Amino acid sequence: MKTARQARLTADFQTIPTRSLVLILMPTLAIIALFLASYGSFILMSFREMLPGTTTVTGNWSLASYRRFFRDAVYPYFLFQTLYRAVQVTLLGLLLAYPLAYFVARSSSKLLRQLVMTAMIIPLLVGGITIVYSWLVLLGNAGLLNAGLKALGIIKQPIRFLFSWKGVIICLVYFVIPYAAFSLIGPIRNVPRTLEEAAVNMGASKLTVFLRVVLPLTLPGIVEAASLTYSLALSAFLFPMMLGGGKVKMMSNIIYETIYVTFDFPFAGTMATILLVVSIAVVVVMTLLQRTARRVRSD
Amino acid sequence: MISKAAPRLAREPGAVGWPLGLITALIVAFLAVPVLFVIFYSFNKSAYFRLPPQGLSLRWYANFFRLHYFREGALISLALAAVVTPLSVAIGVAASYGLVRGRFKAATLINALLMSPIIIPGVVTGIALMTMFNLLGSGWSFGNLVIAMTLVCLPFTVRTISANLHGLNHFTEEAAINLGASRWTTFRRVVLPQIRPGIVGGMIFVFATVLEDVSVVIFLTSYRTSTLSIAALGYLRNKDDPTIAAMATMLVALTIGLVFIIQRVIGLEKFMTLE
Repeated sequence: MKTARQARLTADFQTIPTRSLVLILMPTLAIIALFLASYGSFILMSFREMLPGTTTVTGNWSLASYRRFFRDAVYPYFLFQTLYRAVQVTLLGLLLAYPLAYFVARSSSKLLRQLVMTAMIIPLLVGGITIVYSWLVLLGNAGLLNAGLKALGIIKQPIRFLFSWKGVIICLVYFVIPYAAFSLIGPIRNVPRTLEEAAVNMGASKLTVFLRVVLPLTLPGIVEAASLTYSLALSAFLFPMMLGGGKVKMMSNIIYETIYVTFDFPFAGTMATILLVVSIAVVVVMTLLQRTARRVRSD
Repeated sequence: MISKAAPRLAREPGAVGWPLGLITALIVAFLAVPVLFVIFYSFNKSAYFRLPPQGLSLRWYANFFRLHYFREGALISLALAAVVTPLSVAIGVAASYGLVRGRFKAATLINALLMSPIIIPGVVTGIALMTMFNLLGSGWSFGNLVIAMTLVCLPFTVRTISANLHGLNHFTEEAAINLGASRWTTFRRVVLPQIRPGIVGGMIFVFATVLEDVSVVIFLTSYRTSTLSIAALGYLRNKDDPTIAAMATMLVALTIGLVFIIQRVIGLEKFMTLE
Protein backbone atom coordinates (compact mmCIF):
# COMPACT_ATOMS: atom_id res chain seq x y z
CA MET A 1 0.00 0.00 0.00
CA LYS A 2 2.79 2.29 0.95
CA THR A 3 4.72 1.49 -2.20
CA ALA A 4 1.67 2.26 -4.32
CA ARG A 5 1.40 5.65 -2.65
CA GLN A 6 5.07 6.29 -3.27
CA ALA A 7 4.78 5.28 -6.88
CA ARG A 8 1.90 7.68 -7.31
CA LEU A 9 3.88 10.43 -5.64
CA THR A 10 6.88 9.80 -7.83
CA ALA A 11 4.76 9.90 -10.95
CA ASP A 12 2.97 12.96 -9.63
CA PHE A 13 6.17 14.71 -8.92
CA GLN A 14 6.91 15.21 -12.59
CA THR A 15 3.65 16.98 -13.27
CA ILE A 16 2.72 20.10 -11.40
CA PRO A 17 -1.07 20.27 -10.80
CA THR A 18 -2.71 22.36 -13.54
CA ARG A 19 -4.14 24.86 -11.05
CA SER A 20 -0.69 25.61 -9.54
CA LEU A 21 0.83 25.74 -13.00
CA VAL A 22 -1.65 28.36 -14.17
CA LEU A 23 -1.03 30.31 -10.99
CA ILE A 24 2.77 30.38 -11.28
CA LEU A 25 2.67 31.15 -15.00
CA MET A 26 0.14 33.98 -14.55
CA PRO A 27 2.68 36.84 -14.38
CA THR A 28 4.58 35.36 -17.34
CA LEU A 29 1.43 35.20 -19.42
CA ALA A 30 0.59 38.78 -18.45
CA ILE A 31 4.03 39.92 -19.64
CA ILE A 32 3.61 38.01 -22.90
CA ALA A 33 0.17 39.59 -23.40
CA LEU A 34 1.65 43.07 -22.89
CA PHE A 35 4.43 42.21 -25.25
CA LEU A 36 2.10 40.99 -28.00
CA ALA A 37 -0.17 44.00 -27.50
CA SER A 38 2.73 46.41 -27.91
CA TYR A 39 4.09 44.72 -31.04
CA GLY A 40 0.55 44.48 -32.41
CA SER A 41 -0.07 48.18 -31.85
CA PHE A 42 2.93 49.40 -33.82
CA ILE A 43 2.39 46.90 -36.62
CA LEU A 44 -1.18 48.23 -36.91
CA MET A 45 0.24 51.77 -36.79
CA SER A 46 2.37 51.01 -39.86
CA PHE A 47 -0.83 50.48 -41.88
CA ARG A 48 -2.32 53.82 -40.87
CA GLU A 49 -2.65 56.77 -43.21
CA MET A 50 -0.73 59.96 -42.61
CA LEU A 51 -2.30 63.28 -43.68
CA PRO A 52 0.22 64.57 -46.27
CA GLY A 53 2.29 67.53 -45.10
CA THR A 54 1.11 67.23 -41.49
CA THR A 55 1.92 65.16 -38.44
CA THR A 56 -1.68 63.92 -38.17
CA VAL A 57 -2.48 60.24 -38.39
CA THR A 58 -5.96 59.64 -39.81
CA GLY A 59 -8.23 56.72 -38.98
CA ASN A 60 -7.90 55.23 -42.46
CA TRP A 61 -5.92 52.14 -43.39
CA SER A 62 -3.28 52.47 -46.08
CA LEU A 63 -0.23 50.79 -47.58
CA ALA A 64 1.32 54.18 -48.40
CA SER A 65 4.20 53.79 -45.90
CA TYR A 66 5.23 50.43 -47.35
CA ARG A 67 5.01 51.78 -50.89
CA ARG A 68 7.17 54.72 -49.86
CA PHE A 69 9.79 52.44 -48.29
CA PHE A 70 10.28 50.34 -51.41
CA ARG A 71 9.83 53.12 -53.99
CA ASP A 72 12.43 55.46 -52.54
CA ALA A 73 15.77 53.76 -53.28
CA VAL A 74 17.40 55.28 -50.22
CA TYR A 75 15.52 53.11 -47.67
CA PRO A 76 16.23 49.69 -49.22
CA TYR A 77 19.83 50.93 -49.51
CA PHE A 78 19.97 51.63 -45.74
CA LEU A 79 18.49 48.20 -45.08
CA PHE A 80 21.10 46.61 -47.33
CA GLN A 81 23.90 48.60 -45.65
CA THR A 82 22.71 47.43 -42.23
CA LEU A 83 22.59 43.78 -43.32
CA TYR A 84 25.99 44.03 -45.02
CA ARG A 85 27.78 45.80 -42.13
CA ALA A 86 26.33 43.25 -39.72
CA VAL A 87 27.99 40.51 -41.82
CA GLN A 88 31.35 42.31 -41.53
CA VAL A 89 30.94 42.67 -37.77
CA THR A 90 29.96 39.01 -37.40
CA LEU A 91 32.96 37.71 -39.38
CA LEU A 92 35.48 39.95 -37.59
CA GLY A 93 33.87 39.26 -34.22
CA LEU A 94 34.04 35.48 -34.68
CA LEU A 95 37.64 35.68 -35.91
CA LEU A 96 38.68 37.49 -32.72
CA ALA A 97 36.38 35.60 -30.34
CA TYR A 98 37.48 32.10 -31.38
CA PRO A 99 41.08 32.30 -30.06
CA LEU A 100 39.80 33.77 -26.77
CA ALA A 101 37.26 30.98 -26.37
CA TYR A 102 39.86 28.35 -27.30
CA PHE A 103 42.25 29.76 -24.74
CA VAL A 104 39.64 29.74 -21.95
CA ALA A 105 38.51 26.23 -22.92
CA ARG A 106 42.00 24.73 -23.08
CA SER A 107 44.48 26.71 -20.98
CA SER A 108 45.74 24.74 -17.99
CA SER A 109 46.40 27.86 -15.92
CA LYS A 110 43.40 28.80 -13.79
CA LEU A 111 44.80 32.28 -13.19
CA LEU A 112 45.15 33.05 -16.91
CA ARG A 113 41.70 31.61 -17.65
CA GLN A 114 40.16 33.85 -15.01
CA LEU A 115 42.09 36.86 -16.27
CA VAL A 116 40.82 36.35 -19.83
CA MET A 117 37.26 35.78 -18.59
CA THR A 118 37.39 38.97 -16.52
CA ALA A 119 38.57 40.88 -19.60
CA MET A 120 35.50 39.45 -21.39
CA ILE A 121 32.94 40.09 -18.63
CA ILE A 122 33.80 43.76 -17.99
CA PRO A 123 32.90 44.97 -21.54
CA LEU A 124 29.81 42.74 -21.36
CA LEU A 125 28.43 44.43 -18.25
CA VAL A 126 29.89 47.93 -18.31
CA GLY A 127 27.33 49.36 -20.73
CA GLY A 128 27.20 51.00 -24.14
CA ILE A 129 27.80 54.58 -22.98
CA THR A 130 31.20 53.70 -21.50
CA ILE A 131 32.22 51.76 -24.61
CA VAL A 132 31.04 54.39 -27.08
CA TYR A 133 32.59 57.24 -25.12
CA SER A 134 35.96 55.54 -24.87
CA TRP A 135 36.09 54.79 -28.59
CA LEU A 136 34.92 58.31 -29.36
CA VAL A 137 38.05 59.67 -27.66
CA LEU A 138 40.43 56.88 -28.74
CA LEU A 139 39.52 57.09 -32.42
CA GLY A 140 39.60 60.88 -32.84
CA ASN A 141 41.94 62.51 -35.34
CA ALA A 142 44.27 63.40 -32.43
CA GLY A 143 43.24 60.33 -30.41
CA LEU A 144 45.46 57.62 -28.97
CA LEU A 145 45.16 55.28 -31.96
CA ASN A 146 46.10 57.89 -34.57
CA ALA A 147 48.86 59.26 -32.31
CA GLY A 148 50.22 55.74 -31.84
CA LEU A 149 50.14 54.90 -35.55
CA LYS A 150 51.87 58.19 -36.32
CA ALA A 151 54.56 57.63 -33.69
CA LEU A 152 55.26 54.20 -35.16
CA GLY A 153 55.61 55.79 -38.58
CA ILE A 154 52.81 53.71 -40.07
CA ILE A 155 50.77 56.72 -41.17
CA LYS A 156 51.52 60.37 -41.95
CA GLN A 157 47.98 61.76 -41.99
CA PRO A 158 45.48 60.70 -39.31
CA ILE A 159 42.98 58.05 -40.43
CA ARG A 160 39.41 59.26 -40.24
CA PHE A 161 37.77 56.67 -37.97
CA LEU A 162 34.98 58.81 -36.57
CA PHE A 163 31.88 59.57 -38.61
CA SER A 164 32.75 56.70 -40.94
CA TRP A 165 32.08 52.96 -41.04
CA LYS A 166 35.61 52.22 -39.74
CA GLY A 167 34.88 53.57 -36.27
CA VAL A 168 31.39 52.08 -36.10
CA ILE A 169 32.70 48.63 -37.10
CA ILE A 170 35.63 48.73 -34.63
CA CYS A 171 33.24 49.59 -31.80
CA LEU A 172 30.63 46.99 -32.82
CA VAL A 173 33.28 44.25 -33.13
CA TYR A 174 34.53 45.21 -29.66
CA PHE A 175 30.99 44.96 -28.33
CA VAL A 176 30.19 41.52 -29.84
CA ILE A 177 33.47 39.70 -29.00
CA PRO A 178 32.49 38.76 -25.40
CA TYR A 179 29.09 37.42 -26.49
CA ALA A 180 30.60 35.35 -29.30
CA ALA A 181 33.48 34.09 -27.13
CA PHE A 182 31.17 33.04 -24.29
CA SER A 183 28.98 30.99 -26.60
CA LEU A 184 32.02 29.33 -28.23
CA ILE A 185 33.70 28.13 -25.00
CA GLY A 186 31.21 25.29 -24.42
CA PRO A 187 31.39 23.81 -27.95
CA ILE A 188 35.22 23.95 -27.92
CA ARG A 189 35.34 22.24 -24.51
CA ASN A 190 33.11 19.49 -25.84
CA VAL A 191 35.62 18.46 -28.52
CA PRO A 192 37.15 15.25 -27.10
CA ARG A 193 40.87 15.68 -26.57
CA THR A 194 41.41 12.04 -27.47
CA LEU A 195 40.45 12.87 -31.08
CA GLU A 196 43.09 15.59 -31.21
CA GLU A 197 45.63 13.25 -29.63
CA ALA A 198 44.84 10.56 -32.17
CA ALA A 199 45.33 13.01 -35.06
CA VAL A 200 48.66 14.20 -33.63
CA ASN A 201 49.82 10.64 -33.06
CA MET A 202 49.10 9.86 -36.69
CA GLY A 203 51.38 12.69 -37.70
CA ALA A 204 49.06 15.62 -38.33
CA SER A 205 50.45 19.09 -37.68
CA LYS A 206 48.79 21.38 -35.13
CA LEU A 207 47.27 23.48 -37.90
CA THR A 208 45.89 20.40 -39.67
CA VAL A 209 44.40 19.14 -36.39
CA PHE A 210 42.72 22.48 -35.88
CA LEU A 211 41.39 22.78 -39.44
CA ARG A 212 40.36 19.15 -39.88
CA VAL A 213 39.26 18.16 -36.37
CA VAL A 214 38.50 21.07 -34.05
CA LEU A 215 36.95 23.50 -36.53
CA PRO A 216 34.45 21.04 -38.09
CA LEU A 217 33.42 19.71 -34.67
CA THR A 218 32.71 23.21 -33.37
CA LEU A 219 30.79 24.26 -36.50
CA PRO A 220 27.32 24.15 -34.86
CA GLY A 221 28.71 26.32 -32.03
CA ILE A 222 30.17 28.75 -34.56
CA VAL A 223 26.80 29.07 -36.32
CA GLU A 224 25.11 29.69 -32.96
CA ALA A 225 27.66 32.37 -32.05
CA ALA A 226 27.23 33.91 -35.53
CA SER A 227 23.46 34.02 -35.06
CA LEU A 228 23.78 35.87 -31.74
CA THR A 229 26.43 38.24 -33.10
CA TYR A 230 24.43 39.00 -36.22
CA SER A 231 21.30 39.79 -34.16
CA LEU A 232 23.33 42.14 -31.97
CA ALA A 233 24.90 43.90 -34.96
CA LEU A 234 21.56 44.22 -36.74
CA SER A 235 20.09 45.90 -33.64
CA ALA A 236 22.93 48.41 -33.34
CA PHE A 237 21.66 51.86 -32.39
CA LEU A 238 23.87 53.74 -29.93
CA PHE A 239 27.22 52.97 -31.60
CA PRO A 240 26.30 54.10 -35.15
CA MET A 241 24.43 57.08 -33.68
CA MET A 242 27.45 58.39 -31.77
CA LEU A 243 30.40 57.17 -33.87
CA GLY A 244 28.64 57.60 -37.21
CA GLY A 245 27.82 61.19 -36.31
CA GLY A 246 24.89 61.30 -38.75
CA LYS A 247 27.20 60.46 -41.68
CA VAL A 248 26.70 56.70 -41.54
CA LYS A 249 23.46 55.24 -40.27
CA MET A 250 21.92 51.87 -39.60
CA MET A 251 18.20 50.98 -39.67
CA SER A 252 17.63 51.71 -35.98
CA ASN A 253 19.02 55.23 -36.44
CA ILE A 254 16.73 55.96 -39.40
CA ILE A 255 13.73 54.75 -37.40
CA TYR A 256 14.64 56.97 -34.46
CA GLU A 257 15.11 60.00 -36.74
CA THR A 258 11.77 59.37 -38.45
CA ILE A 259 10.05 59.58 -35.09
CA TYR A 260 11.89 62.55 -33.61
CA VAL A 261 12.49 64.63 -36.73
CA THR A 262 9.41 64.12 -38.93
CA PHE A 263 6.99 62.61 -36.33
CA ASP A 264 5.85 60.19 -39.03
CA PHE A 265 4.70 57.34 -36.79
CA PRO A 266 3.22 55.15 -39.56
CA PHE A 267 6.48 55.28 -41.54
CA ALA A 268 8.58 54.58 -38.43
CA GLY A 269 6.21 51.70 -37.70
CA THR A 270 6.71 50.41 -41.24
CA MET A 271 10.49 50.43 -40.95
CA ALA A 272 10.34 48.85 -37.48
CA THR A 273 8.05 46.12 -38.84
CA ILE A 274 10.46 45.44 -41.72
CA LEU A 275 13.41 45.31 -39.31
CA LEU A 276 11.43 42.97 -37.03
CA VAL A 277 10.63 40.61 -39.92
CA VAL A 278 14.28 40.65 -41.08
CA SER A 279 15.60 39.90 -37.56
CA ILE A 280 13.23 36.98 -37.11
CA ALA A 281 14.06 35.68 -40.60
CA VAL A 282 17.78 35.79 -39.75
CA VAL A 283 17.25 33.74 -36.59
CA VAL A 284 15.14 31.19 -38.49
CA VAL A 285 17.77 30.85 -41.24
CA MET A 286 20.55 30.52 -38.66
CA THR A 287 18.63 27.84 -36.76
CA LEU A 288 18.22 25.87 -40.00
CA LEU A 289 21.94 26.33 -40.75
CA GLN A 290 22.76 25.08 -37.27
CA ARG A 291 20.75 21.93 -37.91
CA THR A 292 22.61 21.41 -41.18
CA ALA A 293 25.93 21.96 -39.40
CA ARG A 294 24.98 19.34 -36.79
CA ARG A 295 24.12 16.88 -39.53
CA VAL A 296 27.39 17.56 -41.38
CA ARG A 297 29.26 17.02 -38.14
CA SER A 298 27.65 13.70 -37.36
CA ASP A 299 28.26 12.37 -40.89
CA MET B 1 49.64 20.78 -4.16
CA ILE B 2 48.93 17.61 -6.10
CA SER B 3 49.00 19.32 -9.49
CA LYS B 4 52.61 20.34 -9.04
CA ALA B 5 53.65 16.85 -8.03
CA ALA B 6 51.87 15.35 -11.03
CA PRO B 7 54.20 14.80 -14.01
CA ARG B 8 53.80 17.42 -16.65
CA LEU B 9 52.70 16.21 -20.04
CA ALA B 10 55.12 17.47 -22.61
CA ARG B 11 53.45 18.77 -25.76
CA GLU B 12 49.97 17.83 -24.72
CA PRO B 13 47.84 17.95 -27.87
CA GLY B 14 45.20 20.66 -27.79
CA ALA B 15 47.14 22.52 -25.11
CA VAL B 16 47.81 26.20 -25.46
CA GLY B 17 51.07 26.99 -27.23
CA TRP B 18 52.81 30.35 -27.44
CA PRO B 19 51.27 31.51 -30.77
CA LEU B 20 47.78 31.20 -29.29
CA GLY B 21 48.98 32.78 -26.06
CA LEU B 22 50.28 35.77 -27.98
CA ILE B 23 47.10 36.16 -30.06
CA THR B 24 44.99 35.89 -26.90
CA ALA B 25 47.13 38.54 -25.18
CA LEU B 26 46.59 40.93 -28.11
CA ILE B 27 42.81 40.42 -28.12
CA VAL B 28 42.67 40.82 -24.34
CA ALA B 29 44.61 44.07 -24.78
CA PHE B 30 42.05 45.19 -27.39
CA LEU B 31 39.27 44.48 -24.86
CA ALA B 32 41.09 46.14 -21.98
CA VAL B 33 42.42 49.31 -23.64
CA PRO B 34 39.11 51.26 -23.81
CA VAL B 35 38.31 50.42 -20.18
CA LEU B 36 41.79 51.36 -18.91
CA PHE B 37 41.88 54.46 -21.10
CA VAL B 38 38.58 55.79 -19.79
CA ILE B 39 39.84 55.44 -16.20
CA PHE B 40 43.05 57.27 -17.02
CA TYR B 41 41.21 59.96 -18.98
CA SER B 42 38.74 60.69 -16.16
CA PHE B 43 41.62 62.08 -14.07
CA ASN B 44 42.91 64.21 -16.95
CA LYS B 45 43.21 67.87 -16.05
CA SER B 46 42.42 69.40 -19.43
CA ALA B 47 39.15 69.04 -21.29
CA TYR B 48 40.79 67.49 -24.37
CA PHE B 49 42.96 64.49 -24.99
CA ARG B 50 46.58 65.50 -25.22
CA LEU B 51 49.86 63.63 -24.97
CA PRO B 52 51.64 63.81 -22.60
CA PRO B 53 48.86 64.23 -19.98
CA GLN B 54 48.55 67.66 -18.42
CA GLY B 55 48.30 66.56 -14.80
CA LEU B 56 45.80 64.93 -12.49
CA SER B 57 42.51 66.36 -11.33
CA LEU B 58 39.18 65.29 -9.83
CA ARG B 59 37.31 68.16 -11.47
CA TRP B 60 35.27 65.94 -13.83
CA TYR B 61 33.99 63.91 -10.88
CA ALA B 62 33.00 67.16 -9.16
CA ASN B 63 31.31 68.29 -12.36
CA PHE B 64 29.35 65.03 -12.60
CA PHE B 65 27.93 65.39 -9.10
CA ARG B 66 27.30 69.12 -9.54
CA LEU B 67 24.95 68.67 -12.52
CA HIS B 68 21.41 67.94 -11.40
CA TYR B 69 20.44 65.80 -14.42
CA PHE B 70 23.22 63.31 -13.66
CA ARG B 71 22.21 63.13 -9.99
CA GLU B 72 18.54 62.66 -10.89
CA GLY B 73 19.37 60.26 -13.73
CA ALA B 74 21.49 58.14 -11.39
CA LEU B 75 18.68 58.08 -8.80
CA ILE B 76 16.07 57.09 -11.40
CA SER B 77 18.33 54.37 -12.84
CA LEU B 78 19.08 52.94 -9.40
CA ALA B 79 15.40 53.08 -8.38
CA LEU B 80 14.49 51.36 -11.65
CA ALA B 81 17.09 48.66 -11.06
CA ALA B 82 15.86 48.24 -7.47
CA VAL B 83 12.31 47.54 -8.72
CA VAL B 84 13.02 45.65 -11.95
CA THR B 85 15.68 43.29 -10.56
CA PRO B 86 13.52 41.59 -7.88
CA LEU B 87 10.51 41.67 -10.23
CA SER B 88 12.43 39.90 -13.01
CA VAL B 89 13.79 37.36 -10.54
CA ALA B 90 10.35 36.60 -9.04
CA ILE B 91 8.63 36.25 -12.42
CA GLY B 92 11.70 34.48 -13.84
CA VAL B 93 11.81 31.85 -11.06
CA ALA B 94 8.08 31.14 -11.40
CA ALA B 95 8.28 31.00 -15.21
CA SER B 96 11.38 28.77 -15.27
CA TYR B 97 9.98 26.35 -12.68
CA GLY B 98 6.66 26.17 -14.49
CA LEU B 99 8.23 25.76 -17.93
CA VAL B 100 10.96 23.28 -16.96
CA ARG B 101 9.09 21.12 -14.42
CA GLY B 102 5.55 21.37 -15.73
CA ARG B 103 5.58 19.41 -18.93
CA PHE B 104 2.93 20.74 -21.24
CA LYS B 105 2.65 21.33 -24.95
CA ALA B 106 2.60 25.14 -25.01
CA ALA B 107 5.80 25.37 -22.91
CA THR B 108 8.05 25.66 -25.99
CA LEU B 109 5.88 28.40 -27.49
CA ILE B 110 5.73 30.37 -24.22
CA ASN B 111 9.49 30.03 -23.84
CA ALA B 112 10.10 31.25 -27.41
CA LEU B 113 7.83 34.27 -26.92
CA LEU B 114 9.45 35.06 -23.59
CA MET B 115 12.94 34.97 -25.13
CA SER B 116 12.07 37.04 -28.22
CA PRO B 117 13.10 40.47 -26.82
CA ILE B 118 16.69 39.20 -27.00
CA ILE B 119 16.69 38.90 -30.79
CA ILE B 120 14.36 41.81 -31.55
CA PRO B 121 16.22 45.13 -31.98
CA GLY B 122 15.87 47.39 -28.94
CA VAL B 123 14.59 50.26 -31.08
CA VAL B 124 11.72 48.07 -32.33
CA THR B 125 10.79 47.11 -28.75
CA GLY B 126 11.07 50.78 -27.75
CA ILE B 127 8.68 51.92 -30.50
CA ALA B 128 6.30 49.06 -29.76
CA LEU B 129 6.04 50.01 -26.10
CA MET B 130 5.82 53.72 -26.88
CA THR B 131 2.92 53.13 -29.30
CA MET B 132 1.09 50.95 -26.79
CA PHE B 133 1.59 53.35 -23.86
CA ASN B 134 0.35 56.21 -26.08
CA LEU B 135 -2.75 54.21 -27.04
CA LEU B 136 -3.41 53.36 -23.40
CA GLY B 137 -2.79 56.99 -22.51
CA SER B 138 -0.38 56.08 -19.72
CA GLY B 139 1.81 59.20 -20.14
CA TRP B 140 5.58 59.13 -19.63
CA SER B 141 5.96 57.66 -16.22
CA PHE B 142 8.27 55.58 -14.08
CA GLY B 143 5.69 52.80 -14.31
CA ASN B 144 6.15 52.60 -18.09
CA LEU B 145 9.89 52.22 -17.59
CA VAL B 146 9.36 49.44 -15.04
CA ILE B 147 7.10 47.52 -17.44
CA ALA B 148 9.48 48.07 -20.37
CA MET B 149 12.62 46.99 -18.55
CA THR B 150 10.93 43.96 -16.96
CA LEU B 151 9.89 42.84 -20.42
CA VAL B 152 13.40 43.36 -21.79
CA CYS B 153 15.17 41.77 -18.79
CA LEU B 154 12.94 38.74 -18.19
CA PRO B 155 14.75 36.63 -20.82
CA PHE B 156 17.98 36.93 -18.81
CA THR B 157 16.57 35.53 -15.57
CA VAL B 158 14.47 32.89 -17.33
CA ARG B 159 17.49 31.72 -19.31
CA THR B 160 19.97 31.53 -16.44
CA ILE B 161 17.47 29.95 -14.01
CA SER B 162 16.16 27.46 -16.60
CA ALA B 163 19.73 26.43 -17.47
CA ASN B 164 20.32 25.91 -13.75
CA LEU B 165 17.08 23.91 -13.29
CA HIS B 166 17.82 21.68 -16.29
CA GLY B 167 21.13 20.78 -14.67
CA LEU B 168 19.53 19.64 -11.38
CA ASN B 169 18.58 16.03 -10.87
CA HIS B 170 15.13 15.69 -9.40
CA PHE B 171 15.97 12.93 -6.93
CA THR B 172 16.40 15.41 -4.09
CA GLU B 173 12.97 16.91 -4.82
CA GLU B 174 11.46 13.45 -5.10
CA ALA B 175 13.04 12.43 -1.81
CA ALA B 176 11.64 15.51 -0.03
CA ILE B 177 8.14 14.82 -1.35
CA ASN B 178 8.32 11.14 -0.46
CA LEU B 179 9.39 12.09 3.05
CA GLY B 180 6.18 14.09 3.39
CA ALA B 181 7.25 17.65 2.56
CA SER B 182 4.66 19.74 0.75
CA ARG B 183 5.39 20.92 -2.77
CA TRP B 184 5.88 24.48 -1.51
CA THR B 185 8.28 23.40 1.26
CA THR B 186 10.16 21.27 -1.25
CA PHE B 187 10.48 24.24 -3.56
CA ARG B 188 11.59 26.60 -0.81
CA ARG B 189 13.98 24.28 1.03
CA VAL B 190 15.29 22.04 -1.76
CA VAL B 191 14.94 23.73 -5.16
CA LEU B 192 15.53 27.37 -4.29
CA PRO B 193 18.96 26.86 -2.62
CA GLN B 194 20.10 24.88 -5.66
CA ILE B 195 19.12 27.52 -8.23
CA ARG B 196 20.91 30.32 -6.40
CA PRO B 197 23.68 30.54 -9.06
CA GLY B 198 21.06 30.98 -11.79
CA ILE B 199 19.26 33.63 -9.76
CA VAL B 200 22.43 35.60 -8.99
CA GLY B 201 23.65 35.31 -12.59
CA GLY B 202 20.30 36.55 -13.91
CA MET B 203 20.20 39.39 -11.38
CA ILE B 204 23.58 40.64 -12.51
CA PHE B 205 22.49 40.73 -16.15
CA VAL B 206 19.26 42.51 -15.24
CA PHE B 207 21.00 45.08 -13.07
CA ALA B 208 23.60 45.83 -15.77
CA THR B 209 20.96 46.02 -18.54
CA VAL B 210 18.72 48.41 -16.61
CA LEU B 211 21.66 50.72 -15.94
CA GLU B 212 22.93 50.69 -19.51
CA ASP B 213 19.90 50.48 -21.78
CA VAL B 214 19.57 53.27 -24.32
CA SER B 215 17.68 51.93 -27.33
CA VAL B 216 14.43 51.01 -25.53
CA VAL B 217 14.41 53.66 -22.82
CA ILE B 218 15.10 56.54 -25.24
CA PHE B 219 11.52 56.21 -26.56
CA LEU B 220 9.99 56.21 -23.09
CA THR B 221 11.70 59.09 -21.32
CA SER B 222 11.18 62.80 -21.30
CA TYR B 223 13.59 65.36 -19.94
CA ARG B 224 11.87 65.00 -16.59
CA THR B 225 12.24 61.25 -16.22
CA SER B 226 15.56 60.56 -17.79
CA THR B 227 17.76 57.61 -16.79
CA LEU B 228 21.51 57.96 -16.30
CA SER B 229 22.35 56.67 -19.81
CA ILE B 230 19.93 59.08 -21.48
CA ALA B 231 21.29 61.98 -19.39
CA ALA B 232 24.82 60.99 -20.43
CA LEU B 233 23.77 60.80 -24.08
CA GLY B 234 22.25 64.27 -23.89
CA TYR B 235 25.44 65.61 -22.32
CA LEU B 236 27.66 63.93 -24.95
CA ARG B 237 25.72 65.58 -27.75
CA ASN B 238 26.43 69.07 -26.44
CA LYS B 239 29.71 68.93 -24.59
CA ASP B 240 33.05 67.29 -25.19
CA ASP B 241 34.85 66.96 -21.87
CA PRO B 242 35.84 64.03 -19.59
CA THR B 243 32.74 64.28 -17.33
CA ILE B 244 31.40 61.15 -19.05
CA ALA B 245 34.80 59.51 -18.45
CA ALA B 246 34.29 60.14 -14.72
CA MET B 247 30.84 58.54 -14.93
CA ALA B 248 32.22 55.65 -16.97
CA THR B 249 34.99 55.07 -14.41
CA MET B 250 32.40 54.80 -11.66
CA LEU B 251 30.46 52.32 -13.81
CA VAL B 252 33.67 50.31 -14.37
CA ALA B 253 34.18 50.23 -10.59
CA LEU B 254 30.60 49.02 -10.17
CA THR B 255 31.16 46.35 -12.84
CA ILE B 256 34.34 45.14 -11.11
CA GLY B 257 32.18 44.85 -7.98
CA LEU B 258 29.72 42.70 -9.97
CA VAL B 259 32.56 40.50 -11.28
CA PHE B 260 33.73 40.08 -7.68
CA ILE B 261 30.21 38.99 -6.64
CA ILE B 262 30.07 36.53 -9.57
CA GLN B 263 33.45 35.14 -8.54
CA ARG B 264 32.45 34.71 -4.88
CA VAL B 265 28.88 33.45 -5.31
CA ILE B 266 28.96 31.42 -8.53
CA GLY B 267 32.49 31.37 -9.89
CA LEU B 268 33.42 32.77 -13.31
CA GLU B 269 33.44 29.36 -15.00
CA LYS B 270 29.94 28.52 -13.80
CA PHE B 271 28.66 32.01 -14.76
CA MET B 272 30.01 31.46 -18.25
CA THR B 273 27.96 28.30 -18.74
CA LEU B 274 24.80 30.12 -17.58
CA GLU B 275 25.08 32.76 -20.27
